[in-house]
Amino acid sequence: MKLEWMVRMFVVAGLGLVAVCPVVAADDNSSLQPLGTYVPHTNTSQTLTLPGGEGTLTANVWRSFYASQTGNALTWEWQVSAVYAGSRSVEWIRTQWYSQADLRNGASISMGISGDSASASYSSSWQTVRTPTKYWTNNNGAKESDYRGNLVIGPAVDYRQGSIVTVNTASVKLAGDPKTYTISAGV
Amino acid sequence: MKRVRRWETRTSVSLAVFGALLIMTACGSQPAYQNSVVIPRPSNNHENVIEDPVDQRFVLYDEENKAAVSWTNVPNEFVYNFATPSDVYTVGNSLTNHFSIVRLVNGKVQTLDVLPDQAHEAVFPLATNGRMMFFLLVHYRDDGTEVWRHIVRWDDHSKALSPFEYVDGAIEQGALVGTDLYYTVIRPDRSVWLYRVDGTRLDARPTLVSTRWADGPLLSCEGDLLTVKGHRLMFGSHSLPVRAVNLVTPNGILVQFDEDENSLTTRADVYELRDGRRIGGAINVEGFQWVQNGIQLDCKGHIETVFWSETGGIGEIHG
Repeated sequence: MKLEWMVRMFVVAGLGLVAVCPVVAADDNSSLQPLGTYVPHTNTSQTLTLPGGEGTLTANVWRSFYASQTGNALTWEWQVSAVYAGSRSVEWIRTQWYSQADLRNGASISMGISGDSASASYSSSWQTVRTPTKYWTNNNGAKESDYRGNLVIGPAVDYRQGSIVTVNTASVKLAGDPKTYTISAGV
Repeated sequence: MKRVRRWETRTSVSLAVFGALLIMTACGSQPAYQNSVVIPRPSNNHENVIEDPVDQRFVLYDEENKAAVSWTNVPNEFVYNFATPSDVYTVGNSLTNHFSIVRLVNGKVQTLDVLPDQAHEAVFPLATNGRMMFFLLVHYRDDGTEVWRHIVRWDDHSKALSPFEYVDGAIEQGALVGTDLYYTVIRPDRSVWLYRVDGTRLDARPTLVSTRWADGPLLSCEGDLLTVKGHRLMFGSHSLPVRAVNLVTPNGILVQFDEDENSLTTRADVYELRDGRRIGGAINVEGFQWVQNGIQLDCKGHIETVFWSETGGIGEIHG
């Protein structure tokens, strides 16, 4: 009798726990979700299975869904990462990114890194403008490399709505394997 | 009855023809692998193919506009270089192999050799002194697991790779000291063993030199191997940190490529090993090419050439 009561209590407690837990959207499982307030975002991952059962390499890319507008500037948050999952030691792992958007009339795009600004020419026709590729490498044995920043486009009126694209390329060199591997993902 | 048989015959013939066509179409759609990777080609005299050693790719660089024009940008196709001055590279795909050995001649890529077993073999530069060239040849199963590794020597007369008879194991790096080829082998317990073999004799037996060789690049300079301690390259009383790419010239110049933490672009630093002095370098490096007693760093918006004297030591630096 006592045992039956205890089992019932466990079941009730379990259901209660489930009830108070927040519902987590599928894409919120991304390791790229910034800490703190939930930000509506778009994200994707691409995974490469390395030959010979050496593990997997994943390229993750995350960008806030809505741009915040301050004056004439549009700002998105972004984050990229390269993740190796496997038993091998990592010699180095790199995340490498760029963004592009359709701009006109001299509008510019920057991902917030020194020297990564790119501009459209002074023409009223739309042009696809790409930021220079930048990268971040970890060579301290870590199995992940990531970077985040703010993407700014301005003036807002010279940005074609919905044309923003962010691409991340993950690369890894494993100790003892002479080959380098890579995989890209974009949103 | 006859009609039925005729119909059956027609159907069978049609099916056979359709099947044959299907097979032929399927065969025709197989990727026609050419000579390894897609390499950019210069379209005028200002454009040269150079190597980006960090991204491990060939770059088509416009020397007039001082800008990269195109790259070998097929996923998992990489370029591999020697750690000493050489215009010879290997190129291949990390997933499908299709490796070849190529030479950069006047800014254009020439193929020296295409591996016969394109699907199962890969080749990587191991050591060279400009006269002798040694490569690491790796054989894979269909599932990508390794079968064996051999050191092979390039014979310029027969244009063929010949293996060393008694060299095997998980060979990783190599360096030449005179005609002695030193190479490292990773043991199952992850320790690094250093061997030496006479590079002039394919039937030479290797000698075990050390069972506790440090992790890190295997480089030689002025008749000796550089040791690595605590992720630093030691030379005499001087030491420099190990970088992503470390190249050494026979006369004691160290060229390093790595990430510039401010601009997040590739930076190059050139040092004289004898005294650890930095004699030149650049950031925003798109690639480089060896020149007579120097190195040309092709950057975004500018070109830096660092020269040194034949015996090492600082020379002129041209912007």
